[in-house]
Amino acid sequence: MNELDLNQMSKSNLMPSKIKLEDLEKIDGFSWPIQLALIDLLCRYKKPKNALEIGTWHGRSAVIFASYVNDNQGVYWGIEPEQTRAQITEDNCKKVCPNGKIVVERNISNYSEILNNKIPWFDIVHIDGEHSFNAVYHDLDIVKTVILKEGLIILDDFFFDLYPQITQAVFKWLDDNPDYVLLAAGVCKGIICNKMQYRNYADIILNEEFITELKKYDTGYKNITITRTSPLMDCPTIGITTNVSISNYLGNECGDGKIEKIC
Amino acid sequence: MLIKHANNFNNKLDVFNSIEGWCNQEQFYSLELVLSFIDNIHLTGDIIELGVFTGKSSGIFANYIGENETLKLVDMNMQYDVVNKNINKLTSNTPKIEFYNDMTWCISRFPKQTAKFIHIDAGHSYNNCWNDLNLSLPLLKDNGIIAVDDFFMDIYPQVTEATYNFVSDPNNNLRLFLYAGHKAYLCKKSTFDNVVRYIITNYKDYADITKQPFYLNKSSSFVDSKTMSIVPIGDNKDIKYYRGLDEDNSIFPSDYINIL
Repeated sequence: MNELDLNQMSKSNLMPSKIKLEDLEKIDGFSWPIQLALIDLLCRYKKPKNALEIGTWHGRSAVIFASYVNDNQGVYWGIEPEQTRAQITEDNCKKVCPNGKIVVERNISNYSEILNNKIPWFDIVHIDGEHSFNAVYHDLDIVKTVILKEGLIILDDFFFDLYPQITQAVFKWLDDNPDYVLLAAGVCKGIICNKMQYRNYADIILNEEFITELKKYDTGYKNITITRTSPLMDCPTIGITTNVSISNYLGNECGDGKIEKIC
Repeated sequence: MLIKHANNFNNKLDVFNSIEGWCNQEQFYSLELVLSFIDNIHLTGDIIELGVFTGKSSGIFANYIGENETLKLVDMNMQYDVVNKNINKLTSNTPKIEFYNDMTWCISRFPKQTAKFIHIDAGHSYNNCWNDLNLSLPLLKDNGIIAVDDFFMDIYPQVTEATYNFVSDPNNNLRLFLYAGHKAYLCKKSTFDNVVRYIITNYKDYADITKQPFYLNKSSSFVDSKTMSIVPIGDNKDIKYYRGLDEDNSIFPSDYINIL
């Protein structure tokens, strides 16, 4: 997808949701409704052809990705070392897209077949594998070799008290890979993109449509707020927060309270 | 020392919760635990607070200001009356307090290596946070601790980023040893083993005395990451005091203490 295509991820181009949160919640897993809604909304904008997921559990998020890649005759590629969980993920994906190309590799990311040919081809990646610092850092390194420049990397358990090492690894990796930026953080997800694509994605998240659509999901949160509480040049990361304000947006606390946009 | 701090938590909790301010019960809980380490090693020195608001946490700190020590409060919009009132609610101590109605850079005039504890909760931009850490580090005594507020907060991702970037600079010689209730606790590398061993060893007693629903968590080895966390028990009713690796909870805490 080139820059022009990204710019087309606008209101007129937002596709309807393909999932029902209540159906996803029947699948065993840890993702909260707001997290599933966020992934779904990103997929609706991104329309991924190929999606990669490291760590699938029983496939709550896999089902979302599989639903969208199928439209483009693409692939959902999961990596799950535990045999039973991998099979359940595969079964759950095939229920929603019986004709889709679903690959759930019984493997760990280090030895994945995707590394045999390091050609970037994934549009979106979800990292929820081993939760150590080293594993997360290494997974990001792996993903860097297979994700398209316009791709999005979503990290699970970000800013999460149970696994502080995940956030630590992400910031260390970003420090070592200055071509990438933490686009957004919130609801225990971190979202990374290439710096060259930051503006396009930031424009989407800061568009009124994004928060309006996110609020339409039945996530249990009435108040969801998009934030950027310091100047753009101070830190570009956008916050996606729950229950901090009744407003849709919170901006620079030291300025006029508005979110600064790129001119 | 642990009992003194646990008792202070128990005795002041109701008053604490009645005071307006951002500092919450989980933060009070972790602050007392960390401050008990400082008391336990008999470290003397000032306590500096950058960003005071209503003085809710200042009231906690005021309990641990001894002779020849000073509580130094820095806020560019100091609410003197409110802060004094709240401090008096939370301590019967009459500590020496210095108020600085000023920007945080004023602490660059403070004498070096005189602080046993520094609490950073002032400007929430990346630059503010990084600068406050940079100004604070020279003031910190060798076994002292720095706390950074609003860590892992979706609304302030820049605070987390600035803190990690500052800690990861090897010239700063720091470690982030504990995350609890949106606070990051930092110590110098030379203090790391002592403070971690103290917290692991004393956590069970502290949780028992205070009867609080939080456990000490270390979900990867200390070789992998140096950070422990204090986590609400929530629905995990079967977890008592400690939670270790996802795949082998039993390794924590005893094996980790041996490693240290």
